[in-house]
Amino acid sequence: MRLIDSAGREVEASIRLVKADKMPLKKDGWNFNWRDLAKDKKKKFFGLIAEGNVEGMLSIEIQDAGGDKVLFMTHVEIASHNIGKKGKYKDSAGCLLAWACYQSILELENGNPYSGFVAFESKTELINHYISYGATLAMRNKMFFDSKVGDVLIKRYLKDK
Amino acid sequence: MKNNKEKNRVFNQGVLANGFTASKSEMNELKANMLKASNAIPDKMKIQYKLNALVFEMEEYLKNDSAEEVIAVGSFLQECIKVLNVKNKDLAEYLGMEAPNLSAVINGKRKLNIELADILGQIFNSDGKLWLDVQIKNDWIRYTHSKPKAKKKYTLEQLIKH
Repeated sequence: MRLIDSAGREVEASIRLVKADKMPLKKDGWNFNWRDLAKDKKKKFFGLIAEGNVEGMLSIEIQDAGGDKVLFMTHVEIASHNIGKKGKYKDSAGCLLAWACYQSILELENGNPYSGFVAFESKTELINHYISYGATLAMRNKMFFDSKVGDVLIKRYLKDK
Repeated sequence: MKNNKEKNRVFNQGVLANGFTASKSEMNELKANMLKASNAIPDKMKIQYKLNALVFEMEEYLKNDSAEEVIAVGSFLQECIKVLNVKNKDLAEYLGMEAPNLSAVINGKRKLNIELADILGQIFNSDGKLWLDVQIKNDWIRYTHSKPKAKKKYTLEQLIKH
């Protein structure tokens, strides 16, 4: 995938599993100590990497929810310099959300009705932000991306144009 | 105004999700909502989304320089066939191939040729060359990682002197 920086420069980027010792820490300006979060072995941790730097982090977990497996997006954070309209890589959040949808399609079996779906909990303040990405508000602050939205996000944020 | 400030403050922290907790009843309600949304999506589209993701997986595989995991082009084809829920025999018949020949491609015992790559590209809405590129990448990894059998060195200088 390619990210476009604030100067309009295209940069090759990738999302891949990150080893614990390469994970960002609070002391590096992140809100989470990702290395601590990574102690939870039930989760997978992906980093958005551009020019050798971690630009965003995502953790997902597949849980058996009453017989069917569901993919949950548990933690998402973008590097502080990517925040907002003036951020360095403004699409970094979209890429991570699209990646969660992609993982749901790959990881959940054919025939599972939740394949391609991503469930997550939003902070109240971010509900509209997620809706702008196409998420559905299920109840209170529980939200999900469906597979149709996921397909759109993958094409928009992950596929090379 | 205060709400906007708060909204910006939270978003400015860069945290988009911070854990997931739900009671049993909340989980049931969430699942019911998701199931309703899932049922509204036609099966044909679900298959298409899955195939799109598999094509994207192939594109990502090509970009990954690591040789840690070699995924045979036949494995990708097998995955696509699984998503379509068709029998190899029926696909072979549609393609005008002998079923054992298609199985041999899937199992990596037979190479994918340009014609079949072109057809797979059409069926799976991808660039036919993508299928060949995966095969070439794997062949190259195998070649470069194989034990050198007293390989002769070739240079332009030697050729000119020759």
